[in-house]
Formats: sequence, structure tokens, C-alpha cells
Amino acid sequence: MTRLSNRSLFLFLSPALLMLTLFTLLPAIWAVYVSFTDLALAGPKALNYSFIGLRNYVKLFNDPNFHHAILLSVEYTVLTNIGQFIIGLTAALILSRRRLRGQGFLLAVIVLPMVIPGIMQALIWSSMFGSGELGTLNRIAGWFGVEPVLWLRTAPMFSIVLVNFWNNAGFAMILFLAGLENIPKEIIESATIDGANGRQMLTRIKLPLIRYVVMLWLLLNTIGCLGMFDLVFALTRGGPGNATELLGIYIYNQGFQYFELGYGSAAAMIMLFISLGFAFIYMRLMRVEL
Amino acid sequence: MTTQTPSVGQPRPQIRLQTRGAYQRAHWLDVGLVYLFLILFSIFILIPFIWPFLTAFTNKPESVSTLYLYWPESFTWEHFNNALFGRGDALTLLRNSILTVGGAVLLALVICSMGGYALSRGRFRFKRALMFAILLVQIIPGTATVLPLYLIMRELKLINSLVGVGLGMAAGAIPFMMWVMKGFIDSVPIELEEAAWLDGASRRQTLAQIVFPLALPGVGAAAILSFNGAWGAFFLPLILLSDAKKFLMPLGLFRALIAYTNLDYGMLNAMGLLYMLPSFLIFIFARQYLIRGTMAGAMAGQ
Repeated sequence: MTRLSNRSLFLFLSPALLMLTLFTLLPAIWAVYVSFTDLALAGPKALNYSFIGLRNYVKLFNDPNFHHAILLSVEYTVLTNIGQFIIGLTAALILSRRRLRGQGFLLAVIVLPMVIPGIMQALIWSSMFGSGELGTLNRIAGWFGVEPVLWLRTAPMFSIVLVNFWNNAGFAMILFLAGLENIPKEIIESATIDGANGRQMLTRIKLPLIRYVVMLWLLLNTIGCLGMFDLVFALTRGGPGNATELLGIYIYNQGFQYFELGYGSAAAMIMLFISLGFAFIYMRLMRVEL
Repeated sequence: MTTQTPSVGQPRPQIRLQTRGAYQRAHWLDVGLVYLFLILFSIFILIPFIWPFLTAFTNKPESVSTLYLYWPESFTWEHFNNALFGRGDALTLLRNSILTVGGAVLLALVICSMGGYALSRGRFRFKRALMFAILLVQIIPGTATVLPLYLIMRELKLINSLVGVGLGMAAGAIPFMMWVMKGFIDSVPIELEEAAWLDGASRRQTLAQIVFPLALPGVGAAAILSFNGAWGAFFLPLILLSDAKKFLMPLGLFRALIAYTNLDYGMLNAMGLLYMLPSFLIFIFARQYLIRGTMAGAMAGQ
């Protein structure tokens, strides 16, 4: 009885496989097909759609708005990663050296935004970004003599990167901190005995030893940024104009604003392939074996 | 939020918020600077939370807009009253959210307990490939598959239905939960089951009376993590639901946020606080699970 019989094995796994096939695998396969058609959400093309070959993809590669969306997503991803990496790593290096009273509590406060739903992040930051001199961020900037800024109009990319920073930087920090603290004490001690100075300790010992943690964090964060939708959509709806129309919002707009499901699916396929690429690298690093 | 990913095939690394180990005695100036940094960072995190609490619980002076911070005139429950029983209709929204998300988490729990058991105890040819595929599904952002998901839901006549949203949420929760459940069932020794089988118990009995009670902490952790994910889900309800009576909380908040001019932020924030209540509870009581669950995906390399 130690071995599960094939029948019960199948019985146990089938609900999960059914759900994943129906709501994940099938949509993905369907998307491939739809991306080669001119299917629309409404109107005559909703019923009488036809196979149009690669025309959607050709159109995408010539669509300046699509290029714009890709570039914005790349910009968003790079800025988000850089900001969180620098602050997260600096803070982790400082904190890993000593134990401070109340540090646990302060770290807990710093990761609080992790649990806040995207739509609420957008809501509470709409007041932070409030225009005029009464907006919270403008008031704080005012103490330093900065003139009021129309944050979401004049610096939309900075604004959405800032909210992501507020949301996730604390996590990067405690992640790197945990990575540093998992380095065996003996390694640090023997390096000290061998006369390593502070910089050597950092570049030769600590950074190489946490490089996997950093890489995996980087990949997860990158995939998350590529798929970003709710926070940015609720905060700016892609605007002003299309200044924050990230890839996810572009796909949504093609499908549900312009009703071009075929064209939108083609864009989604490209996003899927980019994310799959990152996901495979991620899993290689995780040492998942087949 | 960062995608949650379970660790693979390696012992879960120890993660602590408190620091430990040998530390050199630091200079007071050094310590002071670290405190300064931590406190400034905490203030930066907390400042945005002032506004929702302020506007939800207090009356504002006549002259100012509720979009901004103000000195409160008096304490009031009025905004919560409006949110729950007045224009906000938060009771309906909350009921829809609780039913849908609760149903989705329960369904995912049942499905993943069974699936996790099979993955843990079964030996079959494509097991690793299957687990690899499940993990891949977890990592791919939902944004990339949402248009075709809409088409499938339309074929299944699940547009504008809470069942459809719940099924979508459950499917979204399954990959991560399967991994977590498999890990926890792995930790229950098979010898315990074998002893019970010798005493004449059936597989179903050992499953219900031995494996699940022992794996219960894991079940709880998995449930909390997937609840948190589904509770915050916005994209799926946004594309599937159009009837205001069926809106979930995040959708109701979003519609209110974009619908009105001269918005009543007092009421909106009261709704928002009601919506965030489970998030705060999870933060207070289950923060460690959440951090560990999210971290595992990035710590496995060590």
C-alpha cells in the first residue's frame, strides 16, 4: 500500500490538473491562436473573425504605441530594481553588522506595505500626490523650499516608481539581510584573520555569497514589474496621455478599450515570451532539475 | 507584490527579522546613524497611512478638501455609516468579496491537499516535469494570459458571475499552494501512515486522521497566503464583472475612485479601511508566514 496506485494517483491529481488546464494552459494556447486572427470583443468581427496570419505581429512591430509601452515597462523595471537594490543592500549591510534594540519592530513597520492591496496603494497615494501646496508630498517638499509639483502630471514615471519603492523596498532589505546572516560566521571570521579589510570583505566575501539571493530577487522583481497592472492602472489609468501606459495596461486597452482581442493577444504573447525567458533563467538558478 | 514562489528541493533557509551572532561594539555615532536611517524609513512608510485614518474617522473643517491632510474638527462614525449602509454599499461589496475569496481559498485548499499528497507520496514518470510546469505557471504574470482567460470564461458562460471570478482566483492560487502542501506533507513521515495501514486503516482514513492534522500548520499558512493574494486581486474582477451588484471590494473602490467628481474621500477611506482590515490582521498575526513564503522563492539559491 506504500505506493499510490495509478488510479488513486490520477484521482488525487485530476482536480488540480483540470483547473490548471482550463484556466491557465487553455487560455495560453487559445491566445496563440487568437493572436493570428482579427477577433474583436464586440461588433461584426466578434463572430465573423478570420485567420490573418502574422498581420497582428507585423502591425505590433510598426506600432509606435507598442514600442512606447515596451520602453516604459523596461524603464519602470530598471528604475524600480536600481532604487530598491541600492537602498535594500545598503540597509542590509549596515543592519547585519549589529543588533539594535527595537530593530525587529522597525523592520516590521518597513515591510507593512507588502500586505496592502494594489488598489489601496493607489488610493492612499492619490492624496500623497495631491496637487497644489496642500498635497502631502508637496507639503513635505515645501519644508525644503521646493515649489509645489503636479506629481502625476509632470513626473508620472517617478511617481509610480516611488509607490513601488514604498511597497517593496522593505522586502528587498530584509531579504538581503537574511541572505547576509545566512553566511556562516566561520567564513567571516577566517577572512578577518586572513586580514581582509572592509572593502575586500564586501566585494570578495559578502557579495559573492549572496549573489544567488540577489539574482533570484532581481528576476522575480523584473517579472513582477513586467506584469504590473493594478497599482498603476488605478493611480493613473496609463496617463497622462500614455505616459504610464505600461505593457500590461497597453494589453488591457487593446482588448477592453479598443475591443481588438486578436491584436491585444498578440501583444500578450510577446509579454508571455519575455516573462517565460526570465522565468526559465530564474528556474535554472533555483536549480530545479527535470 | 513580488510573486510568491516556493523553495525547491532544499531545506528551507532560516529567516529571522532579528539579527544574531557576534557583533563588534559599535561607535555610538554609528548606531545613531543606523537608528536615524531606520526611523526615517519607517516614517516614510507610515506617512501615507495618516490620510485614510484621518479622513475616515474625523470631520473636516468646512474650507478644506478631503483629498488633503487637515486638522480634524471632531471624531465621527458617519463615514463608516455612509460606507456600510449609505452610498458606499460596502456591505454588499464585502459580502461578495468574502464569499468569492473564501470559496476560492477553500476550493484551492481541497484541491491542493489532494494534489499535494499525490505529489508527495506518488512516484510516477513525469513528476519532476509536472512540478516544474506548475512552478512555471506560478511565475508567469497573470497580465499576460488575461485576454484569453476572458474568452474561456465567456465560453463557459462565467462572465459577470462570482463563480467565474472565484474559479479564476482558485486557479491562480493552486500552483503556489500545491508546492507548499507538498512540502508540508513531505515532512509527515510515511512510517506513521504505514503503521496505521497495518492496523487496518484505509488510505482515506490515514489521510484525514494522520497526514492532515500533522500538516495543519502548513495548511493554515497556505490558506493565509492565498487569501492575501486573492483578496487583493483586481485585474480578474475588473474584466469579468460589469454588474455593480456583483462587484468585489477592490472593484467597488476603483469605480468610486474614478466615477465621482467632488469625491467623498471620508466615505471612500472608510470603505478602504474595511477592505484593508484582513490585510492588517494578516500583518499583525501572520507576517512571518507571508515574509517566509515570499522569501522562499529568492532564498533557495543559498
